[in-house]
Amino acid sequence: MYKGFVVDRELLAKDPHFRTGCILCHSGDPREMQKEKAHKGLLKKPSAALSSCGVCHKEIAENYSKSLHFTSAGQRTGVMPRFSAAELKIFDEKVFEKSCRSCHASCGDCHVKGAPVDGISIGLIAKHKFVKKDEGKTCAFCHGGRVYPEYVGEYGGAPDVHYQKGMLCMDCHKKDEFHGDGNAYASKQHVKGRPACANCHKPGSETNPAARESHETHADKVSCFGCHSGAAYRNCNTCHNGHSAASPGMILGRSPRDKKILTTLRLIPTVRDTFAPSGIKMENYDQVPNYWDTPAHNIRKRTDRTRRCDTCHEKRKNFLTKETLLENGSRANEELIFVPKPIKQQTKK
Amino acid sequence: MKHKLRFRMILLAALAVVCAGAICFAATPNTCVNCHTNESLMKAMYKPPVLPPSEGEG
Repeated sequence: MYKGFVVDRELLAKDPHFRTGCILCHSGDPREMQKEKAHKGLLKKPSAALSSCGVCHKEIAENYSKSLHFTSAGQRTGVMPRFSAAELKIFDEKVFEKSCRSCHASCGDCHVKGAPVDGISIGLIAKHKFVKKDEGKTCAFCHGGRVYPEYVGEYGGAPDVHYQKGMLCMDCHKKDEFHGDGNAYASKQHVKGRPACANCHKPGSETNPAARESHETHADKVSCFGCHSGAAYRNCNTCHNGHSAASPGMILGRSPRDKKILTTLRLIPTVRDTFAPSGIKMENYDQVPNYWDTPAHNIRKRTDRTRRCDTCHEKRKNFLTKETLLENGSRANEELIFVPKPIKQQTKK
Repeated sequence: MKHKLRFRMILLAALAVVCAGAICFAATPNTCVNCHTNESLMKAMYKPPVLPPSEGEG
């Protein structure tokens, strides 16, 4: 891990970021020989204040100040329907800034030094080079609990077919999605220009007639992930405040955002006593389910659901049922149960 | 002709500023650079973080 603090000397002469020296961004005292004295007043993360990068990258910094990676607003938006007005105030004062928002990313977290997770960081991504992207060292670290290991197949299932084809995060998630477009979105669901399967896989362009028929039959009823999620993915059972449990599973049910659509659901780690240490009971806990629709990043072209119609329509494999609902969960969970209609004939693939 | 000469003068001046900056940076005593470009020194000085008990992250 010491290598995470080593700077490439050759960069100092070549990279314009170093033209004004180290202390302009980092402060400290470069005349001192002892570490403690040299590091006095040190700014470890100068880009946490966007104005430092904003000196040259003004428009990006202004847009980024409103982007979800910086504001973490989506986390607040997701949980706040569970709070009363008074509880929301406590949450904003005691929890959000100190806990949830500690995950927000500075410019440097993506372009210079990996963000610490639980005190662990990979350090400088490339010896203090200002990298445009390095998903395996940035996205993978912060999103390494769920999405990234699903994507690369480290979670036990087969890797996502897009990963096998050589695609990484930014092949679908474009830089404007991270830098922002100047709009302060409430959550990622509202962001314009988000990735969509149909951006590349146009409906009607299938070469397999059975696939085209299946897509037409299930259009506006089943999400792409509902059929093409390849394996179980991580579901988090309890809160991360000192205790957590995660277990694999695939859960099919109604999307809480659009109950007409069947999709993959993911259990989220907000249980009734999640915020009890802060004095928040969550008076409206049952207004929001414990499952969110999830774009499981483990896509396969062929799955047990694409091969045989009865996987869903007869066997109802992986479907959310009353028996499999989270114990002591939100009463809103029951609304997500979907019972597919039995069918007599199967479509052969 | 006059414009060409002016343009060349401006270009030369800009180049001089850039070079001066680089020279100044190199010439100024800088323990930041001396330490942080020395891999053996970083290895000797590095102390792993002491972490609280934790079962996982996001």
